[in-house]
Amino acid sequence: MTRRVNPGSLVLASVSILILLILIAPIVIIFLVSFTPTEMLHFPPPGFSLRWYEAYFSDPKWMTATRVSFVVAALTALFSLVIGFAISLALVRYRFFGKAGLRMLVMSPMILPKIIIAVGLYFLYVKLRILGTTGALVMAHSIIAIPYVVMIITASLYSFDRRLEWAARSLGASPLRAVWLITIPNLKPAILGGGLFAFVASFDDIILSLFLTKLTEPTLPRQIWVNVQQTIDPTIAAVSTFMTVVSVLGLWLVALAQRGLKKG
Amino acid sequence: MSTQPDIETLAGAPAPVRKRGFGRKGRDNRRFPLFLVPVLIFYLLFFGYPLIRIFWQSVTDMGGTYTLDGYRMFFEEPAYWAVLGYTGLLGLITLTITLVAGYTVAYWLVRLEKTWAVILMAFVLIPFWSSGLVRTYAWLVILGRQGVLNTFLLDFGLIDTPIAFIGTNTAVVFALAYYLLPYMILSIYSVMNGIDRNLLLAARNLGASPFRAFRHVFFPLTRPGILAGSYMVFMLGIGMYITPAMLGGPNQTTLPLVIAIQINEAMDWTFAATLSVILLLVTGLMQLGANRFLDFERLWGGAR
Repeated sequence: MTRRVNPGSLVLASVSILILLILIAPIVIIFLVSFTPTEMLHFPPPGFSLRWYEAYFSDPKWMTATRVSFVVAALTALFSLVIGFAISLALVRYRFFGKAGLRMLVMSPMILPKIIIAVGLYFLYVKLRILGTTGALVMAHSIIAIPYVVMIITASLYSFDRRLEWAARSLGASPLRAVWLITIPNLKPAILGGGLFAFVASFDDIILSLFLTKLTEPTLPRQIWVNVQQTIDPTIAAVSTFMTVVSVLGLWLVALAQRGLKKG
Repeated sequence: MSTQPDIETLAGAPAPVRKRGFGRKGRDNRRFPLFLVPVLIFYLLFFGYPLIRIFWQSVTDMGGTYTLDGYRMFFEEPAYWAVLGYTGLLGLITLTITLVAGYTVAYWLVRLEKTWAVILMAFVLIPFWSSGLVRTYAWLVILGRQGVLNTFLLDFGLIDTPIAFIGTNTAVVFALAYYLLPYMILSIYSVMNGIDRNLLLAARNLGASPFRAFRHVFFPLTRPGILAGSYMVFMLGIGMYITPAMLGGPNQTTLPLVIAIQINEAMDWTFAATLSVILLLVTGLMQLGANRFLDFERLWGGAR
């Protein structure tokens, strides 16, 4: 039995598949190119070799940048979680003057051109003489990471059954103790998800790093940026693949955590 | 739990959760939460002050005296007007491309069997989740003089000399649209996914042609997704730095590029601040316009 094929559907399907292939192509190409044994970027690569990964992992410059990126991203995740949790709690549980304004303030870095935040912070950091310090970059990354944390935690707080907390209160727990022992453990998937999101937001950032780090201690994206200006050597493809794996893995875990949250 | 893909969750914006009908409102704490004080201090210092500082810097010279040189420079030099125009045009063209491509893909995906839709959604989410720098670098690898595309064309004898893709408007527009397309697909798809299919069946039942049902029932219902996606794509598009810097040439200078040059090369803080204020004003106006017809509550994860 043959189904009648609608020419309209056929066009829709082929155009969509083509677009989806274009979306994934660059990532696949970078992935494959990173295993080339040649000095040049060959596609498809004429063989298989891990030399560019070796070049990446044995170069102190790349390793410094990798370390900086991981440290900054981890600190950003921690700091954003603390601030983001407080904001989420205030937004969901309290009614006060200026609440709408607070939400606007916290969420606006998501859509504000990042370069504006970078320029403003650059002026501030030069004045405070903290340009290029780890702490200063963590604060900057937190500004852009907190919106994600707040989005995930508020959603989870709304669906949290507060009767659990009231039960704890009625059994004699202080408000703070009830939050610590009941609310926070129950929000674990959201907290984990928010933290991972903040980590990736910091790990992937280039604009703020470009303005606010020292050249001697760049983040991974900034080191890529510097190298791209000089050569297109396959080491960058290896580093890029590494970065992609870290981000995709991180956000895939977020999705898993969120799904667990819904089921639980 | 169904196997329905929850794209908003995958994309990091959890669907708004309906509050429990538990008389919650009455129980909300009406005091000002004191634990917000350190939070506000943090925002004042690392977000409020920098923004105010930009405004202030735009009307003072490096010595700290009042001056309007930055604005004068901008308004008297047509080249900067051209940059502003190019930035806006780039945003609009990118918006048009992503809208057409994004709507097509979202429409196709939403009609697919759910299992397939989830699998194919990875083609949207993996690029969405990877670093913008990496994705732009990838296009450099593909479109460069000795890049993948040129090598391919040369090997097959389709061209004799490599084509210079880098430094053209086409490369910048294409890469920018590529970068922003997932935002558009995800915005439209999440809205389409929430539309009740029975409405379409009802329209068909009442004698509407498939096209008429689409045009008068389905399409109007997807408007919130179109608006949210367009807003995000345009706002992000005019603020992009990496793509035009990496794939553009001297003729693809955007406002963010000029700002970076003023800071890093010209060391002209006043002018950098002026240009930042202008970019801020453009995005601010956009925001005001968008507020009128965009449901930010939904866009921002249902936080009330």
